[in-house]
Amino acid sequence: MTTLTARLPKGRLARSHGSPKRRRARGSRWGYIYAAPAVALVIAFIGVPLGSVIYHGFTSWNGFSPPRWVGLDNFKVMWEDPIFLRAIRNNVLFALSVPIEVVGALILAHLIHERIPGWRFFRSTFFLPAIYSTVVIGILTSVVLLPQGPFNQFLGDVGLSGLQHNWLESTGTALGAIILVVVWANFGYSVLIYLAGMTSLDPQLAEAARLDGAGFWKILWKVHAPNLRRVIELVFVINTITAFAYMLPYIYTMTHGGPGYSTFATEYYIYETGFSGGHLGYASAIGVMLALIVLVIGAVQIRVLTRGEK
Amino acid sequence: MGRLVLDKVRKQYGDGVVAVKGLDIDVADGEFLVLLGPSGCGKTTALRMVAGLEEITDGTIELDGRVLNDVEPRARDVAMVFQNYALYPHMSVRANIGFPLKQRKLGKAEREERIGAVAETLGLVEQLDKKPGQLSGGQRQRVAMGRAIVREPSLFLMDEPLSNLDAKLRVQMRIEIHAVQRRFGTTTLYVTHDQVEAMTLGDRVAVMREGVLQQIATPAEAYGAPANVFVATFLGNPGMNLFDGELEVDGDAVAVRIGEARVPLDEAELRSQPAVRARGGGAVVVGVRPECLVVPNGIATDRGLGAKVELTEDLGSNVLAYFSIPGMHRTPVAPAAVDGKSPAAAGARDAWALGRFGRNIHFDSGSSVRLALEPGAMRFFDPDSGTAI
Amino acid sequence: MEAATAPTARPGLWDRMVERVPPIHRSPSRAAQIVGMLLLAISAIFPLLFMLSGALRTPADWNHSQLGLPTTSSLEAFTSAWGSANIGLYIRNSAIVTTGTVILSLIVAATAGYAFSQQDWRGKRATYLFVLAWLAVPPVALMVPVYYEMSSLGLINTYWSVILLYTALNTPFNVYLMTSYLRGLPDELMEAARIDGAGIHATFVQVILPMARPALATLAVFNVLYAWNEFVFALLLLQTESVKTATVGVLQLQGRFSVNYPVLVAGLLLTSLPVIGVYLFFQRYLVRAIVAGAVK
Ligand SMILES: Nc1ncnc2c1ncn2[C@@H]1O[C@H](COP(=O)(O)OP(=O)(O)OP(=O)(O)O)[C@@H](O)[C@H]1O
Ligand SMILES: [Mg+2]
Repeated sequence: MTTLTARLPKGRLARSHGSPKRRRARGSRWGYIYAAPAVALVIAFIGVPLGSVIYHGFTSWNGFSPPRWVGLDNFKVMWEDPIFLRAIRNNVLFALSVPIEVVGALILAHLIHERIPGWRFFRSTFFLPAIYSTVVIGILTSVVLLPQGPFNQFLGDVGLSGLQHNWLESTGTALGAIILVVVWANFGYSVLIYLAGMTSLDPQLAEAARLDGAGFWKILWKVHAPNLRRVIELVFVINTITAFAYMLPYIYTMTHGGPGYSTFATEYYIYETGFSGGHLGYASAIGVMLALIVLVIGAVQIRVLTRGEK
Repeated sequence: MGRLVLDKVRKQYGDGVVAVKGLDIDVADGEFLVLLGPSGCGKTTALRMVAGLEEITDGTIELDGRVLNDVEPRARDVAMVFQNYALYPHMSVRANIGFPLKQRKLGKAEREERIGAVAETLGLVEQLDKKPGQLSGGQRQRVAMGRAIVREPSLFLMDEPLSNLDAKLRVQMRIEIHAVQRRFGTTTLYVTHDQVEAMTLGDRVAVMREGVLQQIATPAEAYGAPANVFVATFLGNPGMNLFDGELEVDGDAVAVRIGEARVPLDEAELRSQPAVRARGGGAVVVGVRPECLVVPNGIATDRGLGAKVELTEDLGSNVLAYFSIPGMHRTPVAPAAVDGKSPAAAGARDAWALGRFGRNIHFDSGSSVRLALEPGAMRFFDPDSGTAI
Repeated sequence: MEAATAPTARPGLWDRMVERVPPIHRSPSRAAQIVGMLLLAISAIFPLLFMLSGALRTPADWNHSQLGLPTTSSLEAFTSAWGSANIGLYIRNSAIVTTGTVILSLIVAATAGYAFSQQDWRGKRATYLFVLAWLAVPPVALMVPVYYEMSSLGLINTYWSVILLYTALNTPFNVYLMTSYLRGLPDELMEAARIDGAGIHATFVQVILPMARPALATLAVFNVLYAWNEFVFALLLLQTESVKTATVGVLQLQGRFSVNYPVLVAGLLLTSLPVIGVYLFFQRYLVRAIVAGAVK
C-alpha cells in the first residue's frame, strides 16, 4: 500500500492525473483508516499465524527450546507416517458425506421449492441441526449411541435387538456414524443454499417443462440441476472443506479418534502432536499440509464468491 | 449573493470520455439558468462539477469570485436537489430538512425555527414527523426542496428534479419551484431535458450538445433566433423546418429560392440577420418554425409556397400537417457540419415540410394548398457550419 | 421512489424464496416424500425433546428408560447443572465472549465496508481482495501458532484471546457482506450528505450506519451463532475454569465414568437455548447471511 501517494498535495499535480472513477468521497487518507481495523485483524490473527505455521513447518520445535531448522524433514516424515496417512485417508472417507449431502439436499430443496405440503415447517426445522453447537451434537450422539443408550434401547423395543451394537466403539461403525452425523448437522445449510439458488432461477423454465409433461424428477434433473451448476459446485466445496477441516468437535466428543485410529482426522492429529505430544514443528507441517489441501478446494470457493467483481 | 462563473470547464472521465468540453457560462446573481440538452450531453456532469461531486479536469468554476475547484462540496455554499430526491429513509421529514443545519452545529432552537418556517412555505407542516417512505412523490420532492432551501445557500443545483413525477404533479411542482426561487432570489442552475420546463422556468437557457455549449440566451431568443441548426431543431416540438435555399441578392431586394418558390425577405428578417444580405447570394439553409407556416385565406401574398398535403395529424388542440413542396428538400446538411456525423435526424423525413395549425383548419390529403410565411418567419444558417448567419 | 425506501422495505426473504412457484400436482410418490421429510424434521427436533425429557428425569428414571416421557419431573438436573456443574458460569462467559465478538465484528465490518464501498483511495480494490483472501485459510491449520501467539501476547485464558481471534476469522466474510450491502445503497444519499455539510465521519454515523441496519442485524445473528458455538479455539485458549465457555464447559459433564446423564443433557440444553432462541426470533437475518454468502 502506498501511503506516500495518499499525502500528495491536492491541486495541479493531483488533478492532472485525473481520477479514474466517480469520486464518491474525498480524502484518501480516511479510506486507509477506516479499513485499517479489518486489515490489522486479519494480518495479526490469520496472516501472522499463517506465516508462523509455515515457518515452523520447516523446524523441529518443542515449544520450549528455540525451533531448529530442519528443511523438508517434517514433510518427508509425513509421507511415511502411518498415522498421518491414516488421518488423511479418514478425511477422504469423511468426504463420503459430500455426495450424500449434495444430492440429498438438492432433492429436499426441490421438494420445498415445489411447495410440498408443510414446506414452511420443513424449511424452518431443517435448519435447526445447523444451529446446535457441533459440540452439543457430538455429545448428544455419543449419549444416544451408548451401548445401553436410547438407540439400542429403541432397537430392542421394536424387536431388532439383534442389531444392537456398540456403535462408537466398533471399528466398523464409528466412522459411518460420524459421517451420518455430519450429514445430518449440515443438510439444512445446504438446503438453504440450494433454495436460494432455485429462487434465482426463472420459474418459467420449470413451468414450461411441466406443461410439456415433465414430472418431479425430470424437472429436478433436467431443469434445475443443470441451471444450478454453480450452486451445486458451491455446496460441494463447502461440504468437502467441512470433511477436511471442521471435523474436530465431532471427533473430540464422539470417539477421540478411535477405536484405534479409525476415526482419527488430520485436524485431530495437529491437536494431538502439537498439544499432547509437544512436536510443534511437525504439527505445524501438518497444518501447512491441511491448509494446502483446503486451499485447493477453497480456491474454487473464492472464485465463486468473487465472481462478478470487476 | 451568488454569481456563478464557469470558465473553459472541461471534464474527462477516467475511461477517456470527454463529457464536458470547454464550458463558459456566467450566471448572474439571482438568475435562474436552465441547462438543456439531449440525454448524455453532459448536463449532469457539469452540475456535479459545480457541486464538487466530480473533479474538474480543466478550467475554473467560481462562485462570487471564489474559485471552487479545490473546495470541498460542503464548503461551497451550494445546495442540490437530486432527481431521486436522495432523502434519508431512516430520518423523519424534520430530520431530513434539518440535516444540513445539524451539520453546521446550529442550536436546536434555531434549527426547529428554520425547519418550521420552511415546512410552512412548502406546506409540509403536517408531514414533519413522517418518514420519506410514507410520503407521496410530490411531498418527497418538497422535502428535497426544503432541505436545500433551509440552508439559504448562494446557489441551488437541481438535476431533473421533476422527472420522477407524473405529468400533472410536474406542472404543479414546476410552478412551486418557480415561486420558491423567485421568493428567495437564490441563483439556480437547473438541469433538464424537458423543453417546457426550460422555457417556463429559465431566465436564460443554456443548450448543450455532446459536451459543447450551443447557445445561451433567454428562452424566447433561443426559440426565435436559434444560434445554429441543432438548437433550431432541438427546441420546439416539433422543431424548426430546415430547407435548402438559394439566396438571391439584387440591389436592395433580397429573396431566397426554396424549391420552385421564390420568397422575398421582409424587413424584420433583413434587420435581424444583416449578414444575410452581405453574403450576396449562394446556398443557405432556411429555417421556418412550423407555426409560421400559415394558410393565407385568400389574401394575396408574395411570400407564398405551393404545397401538397401528404398527411395530417390531429392533436386535439393543434393540427400537424406534412407537405411536400415541388422542387424542395428538407435540408440534410446541418448536423454533418456540426459534428461530422450522419445527418440522419434531419434527412430522414423525406422532403416534407411540417406545419402546425389551429384546430379549426382542415386539409384533404393529396390536395394542393398555398401556404404563406409569417412576417419574420425565416432564419438563415450557413449550410457548411450550420451556424446562424 | 425506490431510492428512498429500498433498503428497509423488502419483502421477507424467506417468502420470496418459495412463493413464486405454484404448488405441484399430486403424484404417487408424494406420500413417501412427505413421510421422508417428516422423519427428517422429527430428527431435527429430536435433540431438543430428548434433552428436555432427559433433563427432567432423575438418574434412576434415566437408567430405567431414556426415551418416552419422563415418569418423574424434577428440575434438579437443571439446578445442579447450572450451579454445581458450573454451567451458569460457562454461559456467562460465553455471553461475554459472544457480546464482545459481535460488537467488535460489527465495528470492523462497518468501518471496512464503508472504506471499501463508499470511499476512493489508492489500493482499495487490492486491499479488499487481500482481506477477502483469508477465507481460504482453514482456522484449524493455525491451532499451534495461534496458541503461541496468544500466549506471547499474554492473552491465554482471557476473553480477549477468543474475541480477537473470532473477529479476525470472520472478518473476511463480514467485510464481504457489509461491502456488498453498502455498494447497493444509492450514491446520491452519500453525495447529498457531502453537499449538506456532513464530513466523512458524520456521514458514517448519521447516514451509513442507520441505513446499514439490516446488514448489521444479519451479521450480528451470524456472529452470535459462530461465537457461541465455537469449540476448538475455546478449548485451546480458555483453559481455566473462570473463563471457560459453555461449549468447552459442558464437556466436563461427559466424563468417562459415572456420568450423571440428566445433568449432562440439562447442561447441553442450557447451552443450546440461547442460540435456538436467536434462531427462532431472527431466522430471516440468518437466512440472509447464508444466502448472501453463498449465492451473491
Ligand atoms: N462516471 C462516469 N464515468 C465515465 N463516463 C461518464 C460518467 N458519468 C457520465 N459519463 C458519460 O459522460 C457523458 C455525459 O453524461 P451526463 O450524465 O453528464 O449526461 P446528461 O446530460 O446528464 O444526460 P441525461 O439527460 O441522460 O441525464 C455521457 O456520455 C456519459 O456516458
Ligand atoms: Mg443527467
